Amino acid sequence: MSNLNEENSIQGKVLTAIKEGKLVMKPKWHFVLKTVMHILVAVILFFALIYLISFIGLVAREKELFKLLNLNPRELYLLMTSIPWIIVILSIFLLFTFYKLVKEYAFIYKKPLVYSLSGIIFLVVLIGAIIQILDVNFRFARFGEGPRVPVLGPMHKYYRGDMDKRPMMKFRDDRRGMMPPRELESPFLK
Amino acid sequence: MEQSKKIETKTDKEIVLQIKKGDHDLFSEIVSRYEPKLRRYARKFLFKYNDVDDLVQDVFIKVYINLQSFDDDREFSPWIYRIAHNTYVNALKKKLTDRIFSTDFFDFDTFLPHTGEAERADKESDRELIKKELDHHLDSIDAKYREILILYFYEDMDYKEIAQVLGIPISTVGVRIKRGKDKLKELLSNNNFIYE
Repeated sequence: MSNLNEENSIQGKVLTAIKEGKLVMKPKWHFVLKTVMHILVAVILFFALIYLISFIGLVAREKELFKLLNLNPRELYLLMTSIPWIIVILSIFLLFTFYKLVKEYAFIYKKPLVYSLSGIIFLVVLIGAIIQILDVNFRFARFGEGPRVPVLGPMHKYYRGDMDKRPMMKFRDDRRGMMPPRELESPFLK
Repeated sequence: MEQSKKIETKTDKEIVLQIKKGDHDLFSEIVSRYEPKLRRYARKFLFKYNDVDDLVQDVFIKVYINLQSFDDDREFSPWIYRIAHNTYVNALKKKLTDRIFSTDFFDFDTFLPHTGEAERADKESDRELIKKELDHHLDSIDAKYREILILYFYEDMDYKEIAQVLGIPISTVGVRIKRGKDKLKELLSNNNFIYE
């Protein structure tokens, strides 16, 4: 009777499963590989984030968006339509995904969310700024520009190309006088 | 007899290290040490849940499967409680009988830094009184505060350990304990019972 109770106890059931080989401990390399993959994905996400931010910087420079920062309604309208909003939203999404990924680590979750998020944003901005300083010709941000590059190619063409060619612009009456793209070096964008 | 005596004097970490090296029978010692604690934690946290034994068993299965991921430089207790916490919260989510507390991205308790909620030792008599009253009012306290009160008062964990179990900042632990106690006070005062 006592043996039966022992077998039916949690301890008994778990030990029986271990002895019968139904319960197997995952090997150490499984966790090492998992951690490596985790870090790899985090690094890729981080650089994708910096790439998108650099891309926004490149669009802002080419379209001279900073010159539109005044209260003139027409220029404000131009500014709002020229900002690559989808890329901005995608960057924010990547930022939160990156945070969620690194949140498992004690050095992140121990800090209040506002601190850890600010830290990540600071790091992204800092590395982005360093790249901006070192990479004068925006080679990093230009990565993927080309007619045959999937996703990135059309993204470059859409945001850096002629605004009049955007599908959304076709139906606008005030598109006359819309800023032409600043001297485009790449013929692909024309 | 001598062998069992030796095992009893060993720390959790020492036992885990031996299990990791291949002495799988020693896992029974881990089960016997933590089963009552994890069962109590589950019963109090998931008071509406009927299959507590199955959940506790699930916890031990997960612990065994993932034992190689345990970092030997850390304490074992918060690690096993973290697995229990995740298992119990998932069970709550599946049942949907309780207000699910935010383990998701935006939890305002963890959003801003909190000050002035440093750990302080409650008097032993106060702790006993709170434990007794908590038992009667657990079902009226949100899961978010209920769990932290259980870990603090019943499992006798300090703020640092609770922070590790729940994966939240230490200052947030203090805030939640305070809010949980305030809620308990409110419930007690509604029942014309006053405690300081």
